[in-house]
Amino acid sequence: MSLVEPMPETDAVVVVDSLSVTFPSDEGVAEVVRGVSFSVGKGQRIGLVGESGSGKSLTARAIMQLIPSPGSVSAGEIRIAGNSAALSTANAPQWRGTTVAMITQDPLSSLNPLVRIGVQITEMLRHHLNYTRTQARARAVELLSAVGIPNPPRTLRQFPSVLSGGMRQRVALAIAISCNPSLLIADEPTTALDVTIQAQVLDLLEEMSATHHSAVLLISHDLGVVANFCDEILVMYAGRIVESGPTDQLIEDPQHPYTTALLTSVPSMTEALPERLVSIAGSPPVGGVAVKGCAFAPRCALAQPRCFEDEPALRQLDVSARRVACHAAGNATWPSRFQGPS
Amino acid sequence: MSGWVIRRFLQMILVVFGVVTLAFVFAFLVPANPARMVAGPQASPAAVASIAHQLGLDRSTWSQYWSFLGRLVHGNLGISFVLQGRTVASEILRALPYTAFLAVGGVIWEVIIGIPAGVIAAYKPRSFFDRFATLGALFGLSAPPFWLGLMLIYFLSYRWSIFPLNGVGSPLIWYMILPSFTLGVGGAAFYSRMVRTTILQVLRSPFIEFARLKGMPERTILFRHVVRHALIPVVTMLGMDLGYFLGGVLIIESIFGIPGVGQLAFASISTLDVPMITGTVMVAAIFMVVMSFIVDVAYTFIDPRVRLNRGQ
Ligand SMILES: Nc1ncnc2c1ncn2[C@@H]1O[C@H](COP(=O)(O)OP(=O)(O)O)[C@@H](O)[C@H]1O
Ligand code: SF4
Ligand SMILES: [Mg+2]
Repeated sequence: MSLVEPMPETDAVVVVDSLSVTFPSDEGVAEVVRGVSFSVGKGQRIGLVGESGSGKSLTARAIMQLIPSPGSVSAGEIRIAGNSAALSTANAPQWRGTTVAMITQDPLSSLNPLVRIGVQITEMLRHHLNYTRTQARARAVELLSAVGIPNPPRTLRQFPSVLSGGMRQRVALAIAISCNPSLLIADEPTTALDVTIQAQVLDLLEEMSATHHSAVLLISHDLGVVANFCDEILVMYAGRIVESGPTDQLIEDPQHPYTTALLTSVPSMTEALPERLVSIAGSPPVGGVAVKGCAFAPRCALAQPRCFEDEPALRQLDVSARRVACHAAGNATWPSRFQGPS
Repeated sequence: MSGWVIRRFLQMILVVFGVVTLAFVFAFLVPANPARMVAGPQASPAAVASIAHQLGLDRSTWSQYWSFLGRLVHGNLGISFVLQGRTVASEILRALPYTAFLAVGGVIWEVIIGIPAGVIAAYKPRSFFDRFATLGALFGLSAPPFWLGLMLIYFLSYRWSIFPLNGVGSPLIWYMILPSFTLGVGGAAFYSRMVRTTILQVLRSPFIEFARLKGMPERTILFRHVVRHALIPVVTMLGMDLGYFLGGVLIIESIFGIPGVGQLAFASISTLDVPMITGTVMVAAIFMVVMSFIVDVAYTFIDPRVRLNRGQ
């Protein structure tokens, strides 16, 4: 995961290398993802966390080569299972859904309301794996019961509108894992669901990725969700990764003030703090507006004049596998101020 | 579900009943003495009175209404005042095949032009085809059918002799191509716009994105996931178009000399042939009512969301 000692590419399912995504805007172009690099190894569980609008979904879509028009990947490269140029947009559909699968936030609308659930599962098996109708149906029944759908044969004949949101997300998950992907991207898979159902879906995600040996890239705005699930965490702010590292290190010893702020907003992680649900004051720069210096500076309790001038580079921190983009991190002489909400 | 269909069916019967009753009332309101019309202008008062008795006009309104309904049940729409000895039903049945051919043809043109044009325009927004289709739709919506019909006749039939000039003959389809095209152009234009709008909306929906994330080929996405959504509103309106056209399309029928229900109705109005007017109006209204019933039922079969609601 570190830049200094890159993971051997043969072990990586996906390598994201200096990815930038831009949209045309009134002031020229808006760079909404800026130089994001990370890789996901076989079976690894990586969390991508950050406030809404920080560029998480676009990073995921860039991996899937499905950036919504008029956006585009303006720099960088995505390498899937060691292949770079070969896996460009032209033949993307061949690995999309098979090597890398993805489920999205909105379970109520990610299934087509006019197409039977059975068709929505089997079409993928038939297209990618050339299953016969009977094989595909048998596999679909298997998949549905694996994700805990009570009566699979009946559900296959039904339309999505008969299922609840949680059930539909289970179906979406069954579809996503149906071709044994090496990487499953889950973009806010539980955000639209009830709290009780959220936990069930996450458990299921864990179980499914384990049985299928799939790596998972879990995207969430909720650090709590990601911390419970992932081995490693990437923290994103205003289109950049500002901190990354193994979950326990990042939680116990956050280096970036934004990570600290995110932690204080997770109730279960800040038992010590009297004020539990604190939110971070202010809001991130919107829609890829170019900012001078550190994008977090206007909201940062540690900000110094320098922070408004130089943008901190993402650098490896001492011996650990951690990266952080903050001038203050590891700087013993940085003037300290009261941290947290005032 | 079947409970809903039965309720909807009973509702349709009720509306048909209302239409029929209105037609009866209408015949009463017309300022013409039917007996005098049947007897002819030279007939003596005694002859008129005898015909009035024959027609049951000397009986009470209720009794006349009852026998009117009784006749209707047997498909008897009365006797024409003008065309001696012809029944209204037989005249309508003679005109109906032409109108039906024309109506179905018109709907077919609407479908085969409107839907593909809308789909292609939506898939290639702002392309040359899209602009061309927009212009075409503007033309189709604003060109008056009589003008378009006459232009087609002038060029395709008169100047270039591709199609027959006028009237009907054998094979009928050959005589119906231009009229049905003229009839369908407006709808085709309208549906192409509607389909385009619906598809642009559907293409932005999460389930299309999910289908792409699944790695399904665009062709499958189009035919399996997109087109269905665009068809639902179209099917509904096409059904209503058909019901409307079946009632007779006077302008087209007269330009192309087709002896259909529209011409029959128009002739009966100009000669004040009350039973014929009542009959043609009733038939037109019933086509509308029945088609809207069929469309409603079909809708529940096409759209599972509607089926679910109506099942409860
Ligand atoms: N279709 C689009 N057109 C223009 N800008 C977009 C579009 N989609 C996303 N963006 C911009 O990219 C930023 C990041 O979006 P996204 O990746 O969806 O954020 P996240 O998933 O972290 O909430 C948003 O703040 C928005 O300004
Ligand atoms: S670089 Fe400065 S402003 Fe940015 S997070 Fe670090 S301390 Fe705060
Ligand atoms: Mg998002």
